[in-house]
Amino acid sequence: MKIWYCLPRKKACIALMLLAFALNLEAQEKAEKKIQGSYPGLSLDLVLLDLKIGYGLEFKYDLKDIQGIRISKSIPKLPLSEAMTKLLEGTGLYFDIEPPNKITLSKIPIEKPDIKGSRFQPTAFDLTVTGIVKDGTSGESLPFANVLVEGSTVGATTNVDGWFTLFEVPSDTVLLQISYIGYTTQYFRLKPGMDFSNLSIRLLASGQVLQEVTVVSAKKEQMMKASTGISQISVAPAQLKALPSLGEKDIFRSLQLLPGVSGSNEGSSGLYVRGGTPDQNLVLFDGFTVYHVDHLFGFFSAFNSNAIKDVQLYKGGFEAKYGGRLSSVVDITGKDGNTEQFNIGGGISLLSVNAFAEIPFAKGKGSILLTGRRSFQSGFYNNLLEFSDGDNETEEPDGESETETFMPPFANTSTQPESWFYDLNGKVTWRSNRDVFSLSFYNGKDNLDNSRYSDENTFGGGGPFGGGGGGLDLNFQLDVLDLSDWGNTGSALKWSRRWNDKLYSNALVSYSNYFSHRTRGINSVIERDTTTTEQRSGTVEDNNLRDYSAKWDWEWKPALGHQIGFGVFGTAFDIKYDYVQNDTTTVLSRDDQGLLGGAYLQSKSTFFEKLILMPGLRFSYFEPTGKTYIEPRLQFQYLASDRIKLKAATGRFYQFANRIIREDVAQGSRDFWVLADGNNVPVGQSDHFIAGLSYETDQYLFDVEGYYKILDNITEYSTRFVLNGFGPGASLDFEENFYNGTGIAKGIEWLAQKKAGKITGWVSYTLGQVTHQFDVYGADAFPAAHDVTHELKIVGMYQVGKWSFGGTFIYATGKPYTAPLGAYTVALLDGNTTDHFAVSNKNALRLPDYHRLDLSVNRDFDRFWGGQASMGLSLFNLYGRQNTWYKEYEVVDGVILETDVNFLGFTPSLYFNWSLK
Amino acid sequence: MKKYLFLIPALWLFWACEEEATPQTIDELTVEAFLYAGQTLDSVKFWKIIPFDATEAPAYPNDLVPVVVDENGQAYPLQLMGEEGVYGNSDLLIEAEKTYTIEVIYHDKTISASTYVPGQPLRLELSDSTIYRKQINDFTDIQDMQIPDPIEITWQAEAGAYYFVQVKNIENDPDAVNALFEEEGIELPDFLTEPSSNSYYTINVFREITHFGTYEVRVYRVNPEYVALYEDNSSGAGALNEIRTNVQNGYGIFTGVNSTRIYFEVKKL
Repeated sequence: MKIWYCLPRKKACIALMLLAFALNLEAQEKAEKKIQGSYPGLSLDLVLLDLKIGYGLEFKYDLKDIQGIRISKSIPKLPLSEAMTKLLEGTGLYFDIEPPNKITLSKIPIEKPDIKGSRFQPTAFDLTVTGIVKDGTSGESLPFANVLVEGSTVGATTNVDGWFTLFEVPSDTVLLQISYIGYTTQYFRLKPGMDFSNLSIRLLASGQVLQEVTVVSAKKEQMMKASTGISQISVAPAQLKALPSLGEKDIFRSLQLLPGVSGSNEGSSGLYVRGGTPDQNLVLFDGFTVYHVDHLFGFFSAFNSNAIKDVQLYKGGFEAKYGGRLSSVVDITGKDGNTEQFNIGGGISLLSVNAFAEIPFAKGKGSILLTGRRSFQSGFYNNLLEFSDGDNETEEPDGESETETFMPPFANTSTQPESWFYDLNGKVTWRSNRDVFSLSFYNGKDNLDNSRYSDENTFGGGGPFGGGGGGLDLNFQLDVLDLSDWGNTGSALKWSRRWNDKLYSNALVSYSNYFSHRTRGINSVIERDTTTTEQRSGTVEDNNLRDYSAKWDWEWKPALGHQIGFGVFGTAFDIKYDYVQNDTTTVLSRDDQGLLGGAYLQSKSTFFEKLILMPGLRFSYFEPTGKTYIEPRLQFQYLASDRIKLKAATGRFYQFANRIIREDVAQGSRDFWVLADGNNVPVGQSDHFIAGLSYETDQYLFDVEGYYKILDNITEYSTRFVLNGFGPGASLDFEENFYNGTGIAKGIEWLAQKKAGKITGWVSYTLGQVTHQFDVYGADAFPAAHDVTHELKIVGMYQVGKWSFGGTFIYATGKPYTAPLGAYTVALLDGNTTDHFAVSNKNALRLPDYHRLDLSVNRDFDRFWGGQASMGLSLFNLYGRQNTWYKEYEVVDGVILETDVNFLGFTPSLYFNWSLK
Repeated sequence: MKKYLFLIPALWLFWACEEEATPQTIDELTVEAFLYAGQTLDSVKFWKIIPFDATEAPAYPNDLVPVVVDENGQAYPLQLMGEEGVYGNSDLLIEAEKTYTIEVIYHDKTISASTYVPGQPLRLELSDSTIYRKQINDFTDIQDMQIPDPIEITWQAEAGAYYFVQVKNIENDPDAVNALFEEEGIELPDFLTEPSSNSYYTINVFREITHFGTYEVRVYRVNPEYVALYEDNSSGAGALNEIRTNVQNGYGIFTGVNSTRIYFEVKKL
């Protein structure tokens, strides 16, 4: 077990000498192995390799620490510790030996905390200890890390800026255990004389600076931690590369592997959490709300994992600090950047290139992070764009089937669509002992050009009505214009202040903009001699959401076991949506503005070291309805033993901005955000009831949670042609309708996780049901479109040396759909016919079950072009399962042909990443 | 003992399992009838919905007893007209600006639909009743060819009303304008426009008038229930719930149509 800790410089020199002496003494006692060797001016890495081969030693070090060091020594046969001391003499390196054969080298002193007991006599008791937990390499603060006093129930979790406060610490010589997901669990021994108001503890990321195969710590937190709280899951972005992917390490795709989050939605990066829809999931990035999380039609999320430090998913019953959504919260903390060393890196996959730079300034107090990602239109990209991998199967009534290539709504048969996306992240952070200032910026955009252009001479006639015409200079041009772009821009300026050991505040002003624009039209130009005839038709769709927010969150810890949070918040919404046909006909136009403001109060109290209660209350005033909304929340945990925890939560939640789906299979479904108005679009409401039980050991976690969620005022949007009147004054009107209804989501989730060892992973099973009831569809409830009854996920990772292997398997019940029960064809007066369908009850049928197996292999390279690198291969949908996305129907020769539009088939992908540090 | 705790929620699993819905069967009737003003009602088509799992079109319902009732309450029983599923009554002369209702009982359920037969389009006019074109017999004719002026068709459109236009060469064996490239078996001009509320249509003489002779221009006035059939009818799930019919307890179309006509000549220059 290792720690690095910071001390004032003068004390450090003395401490270093003592520590080096102490370490060597300790090592001598334990290391019985003897080694010898003669090294005439060899580089140190070769010397270490020689020792590895000759004596089976395993070394761990940071490459930069040993670069340029040459050894010209002859070591006689000596005990390992003595030999290492002699070998490293004059190199400026420290070492530590973990018997029998693991050796860590570092330029900074390595202390091995005495877990069994301190060498110092305690001089102070009942302390308050405050500090910060940082990444051992980059110096970045680590949010939501756990800090525990060994042998007691005293503990704390770091806040979003990495700070923690421990109350009633028994003495100044206790041992602290620090754990953080994705990092090696480590220990820190307090010593008399330390600055207990300003500790700085550094953790090593799992697998970080591991040279020549070794993992020093016996326990490390894996990529997913589900035992933090109630319905709360933490994810370590750095570990995600071990999972199969479509070439891009993807946060939201990985979240879909977690229990309670639907994993069978290939066509969307949005999260369906416990029967909620993606718009019912609040996504926060460094404090600002992100309204659209898809790149490339949902194959990838909008977040570059290079820019992300921490992800917290709250699946329900979340605390009063969060609001504005009915179902869940994803709180993403962006990386600050390396505060100590300049670092750059980049990567390439079959889909995109990315790069990042980390620039420290202000002598370790400041950092700048810049990341960028840009797609390029490779064949792989085109495959995703066209879904061309899976031919779609049309089944005829006689049981035979024929295949036809599906061209998605955004593609066409004669042209290759051009598409690209990019995203940029920037963050500037400056921190002192008391204050943190940060400015975070995000901009991402997708662009699709699905236009077709033709320029054709029609000599000899043509056209639909015969072969007239002649050899005139006639030019006929038909252009189909189809341009789409969409994306997000967001920025947040944050000021955090640690007022004292008990009070912390976090003030934030933010701006978020989601835009979506589509122009689709046909432009025909006929030129003959001196005349030109031009005709235009088409649609323009524009959605623009602006969110100006400010909030001020406070944490007050008056005493051990008690924490109070409170804050105020305000948002100004400005949401526009226009849908215009033929330049002049406005089908739908909404221009909504509204203010939302409020406050919250919550507390977390521990009683009898067993019972944790977190009551909360959130007040919101929503200007468009002129009403105040009160949201009570309550979380409960009971620690029945060290391993068994009972938990429950309940609460009320409101949602004021909704994303509406406008289904359009022919041209691609579109969605748009609207603001609740209390009439057509009411303020959504949900009540959560959650209860669960977990059993956790060092190696395993078994967790079960049941949930029951009542949804009210949920909204669907539909456009219809409606016959109005009868007789001479009858008309055909195009009407838009917002249908309102209710819903119930209930389910139970089981999770079995293996947390440590070479093989890690989890098995989760969710039994769920989501029903909706809309009066317009009848009095009976029907399955929601995203209802999945059974969902099984198996995630496994195996690490051996620099190789890591990952595998995921997903099985899910097919989703409901509305199917035709029959069809009929009507002849029109012009001789054409149209097909019409008589349909089943809404969502009465189910698509075939969804299942998929993905595998991946990754290799880390410690020395690659002066830095380090990793490379990976993913095999998506290994056995080529044709999972059905949706179905299409047509009537041909008196029978109904059904076409399955499928998700991606077998798709291999590659990536390569490199970084200086 | 602890491991058995997980069996408690498992019990809930069995409670929550439900049979998934199975496809419903369907045996419904479709009607297709266009009531032309001034004509007898001799083609009301009935047929059954094609069930989803059918391997062939279902049999026609030839045992129905449909009745059409005019707005005065006069009932006209329909009989089979010799073709399967086609009913009619030669005594029923459809009159403009009148309302008609059809009723038929199928599986103890009354299927009905009503429609109003619109009045004729008024003031139908052409910009030119005779046009001249030079027949193309060789390449010299092509070089000398002049672009003919278009023909404007206009009528008086009532507010909210829908019209479409049919232009048709009514000669038996007319000469083609372009004899140089004339092909055997080419179809004579006969084209229709989609319904709209416009009060005009412009004939592109160069492209659309390919033969000499007499042309009939017919302007139809149709009802909204017919226009609805022309609107975008995507076959995906999003459109499945939208049933475009004016038939109660059934499917299809029962609608009145009226028209007026005018003629023009295309002569050789």
